[in-house]
Amino acid sequence: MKILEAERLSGKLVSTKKVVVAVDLTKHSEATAHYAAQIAKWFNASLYIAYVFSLPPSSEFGIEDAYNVIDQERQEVRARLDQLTEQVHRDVSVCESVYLEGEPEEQISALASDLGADLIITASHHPTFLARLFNLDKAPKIMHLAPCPVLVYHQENT
Amino acid sequence: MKPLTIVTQVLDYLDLRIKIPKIVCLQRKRSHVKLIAPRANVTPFPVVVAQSDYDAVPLGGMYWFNGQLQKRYWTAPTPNPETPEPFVRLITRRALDVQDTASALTDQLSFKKNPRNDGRVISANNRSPIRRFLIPIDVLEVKPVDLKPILKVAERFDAEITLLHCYEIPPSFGYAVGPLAPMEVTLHRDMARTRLLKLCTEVRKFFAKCRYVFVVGSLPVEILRASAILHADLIVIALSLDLVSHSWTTRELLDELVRKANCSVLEIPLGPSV
Repeated sequence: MKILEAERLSGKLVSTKKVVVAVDLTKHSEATAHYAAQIAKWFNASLYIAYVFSLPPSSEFGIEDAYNVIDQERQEVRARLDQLTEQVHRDVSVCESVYLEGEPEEQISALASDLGADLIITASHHPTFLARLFNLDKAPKIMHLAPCPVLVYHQENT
Repeated sequence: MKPLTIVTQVLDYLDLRIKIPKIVCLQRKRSHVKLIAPRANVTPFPVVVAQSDYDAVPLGGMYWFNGQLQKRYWTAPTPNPETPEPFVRLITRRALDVQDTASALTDQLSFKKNPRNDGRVISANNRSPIRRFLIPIDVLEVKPVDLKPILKVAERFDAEITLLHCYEIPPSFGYAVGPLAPMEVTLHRDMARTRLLKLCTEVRKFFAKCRYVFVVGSLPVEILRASAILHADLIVIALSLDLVSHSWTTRELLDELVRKANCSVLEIPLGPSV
């Protein structure tokens, strides 16, 4: 049973048509997106660049000013996401940006399910000891929830 | 024994180990270059390409010609009998044996058939982004058929695979007593090694670019070490293969690799129905 399921998922990977790349819009995101574009190009697949905006916990008790700050932040990340998509679009024919809000691992796996994605690409940049201690690295969480194969990219020299 | 003798012996040993293997490069056609290389112990090493057609200097490589470092790859100077042979330094300094490196070089030199670009070299942009898979397995559990899904993926990427088995002494061997106990462990280890060789041989029947590595130690440490030595582009962990380790579950292993690996990690999940 396990082997059959693995064969099904590997079969999806062999004929990859949709690739979702999850970025956090940090300085490493550009490299991750370009790597994903290379893979999408290799498979002649569509690329979806996804960013998940996590609302800060303080927003629940927010005053008007706090909402304005969050809105401003939203607009900034949307602009950065569009900029990144535009950069990558030169390498891949079909490239779209997807902006989501919520918990990154849940949103990314939901997006992959909705799109019927064949591969999720994300990145891990060797988080610090504290980040590991507080379980802040998203890549393993995405791996655990994903409905399809997940490729965690490591940029060289990071 | 005099210190000088020891030093001489050490130098002799090093000389033996770092001897430069000569790779004979036979160019049969313009479209294919075959390299014949002896096995050697160490890399990196310089490679002497003995051939008349200097066009076949590898892509991205450098070579010495008339005492000058040449960087023009496909328009090398015309050779004549007085000039020395070009000295090609491989760009991929991998700790592989010469035969494998030679195959990599052959690959670099090959003019692949491409309907859109017939007769021309395939540029780096058109190459697969992932060329070396490292697949950790438990050779005592895995059969060739279990690897087929991953091999399909490797084939799609036009990649070569390395099967890695990390041997751990089973806890039950802790109860072994007497002078024969170490021998039991050795026998068990040799059995695992033989199975790995057999598995690799079987896999090669339908996937030629397959090699194996047998290591002893901690599973994640050895995977990370092997990926660094082999310059692997991707570590593939299929949850269906059930990597058995006494200290690590497959999930824990995955998390550890994702955190610490210097190359990409691909997880092929079990899927929702299992």
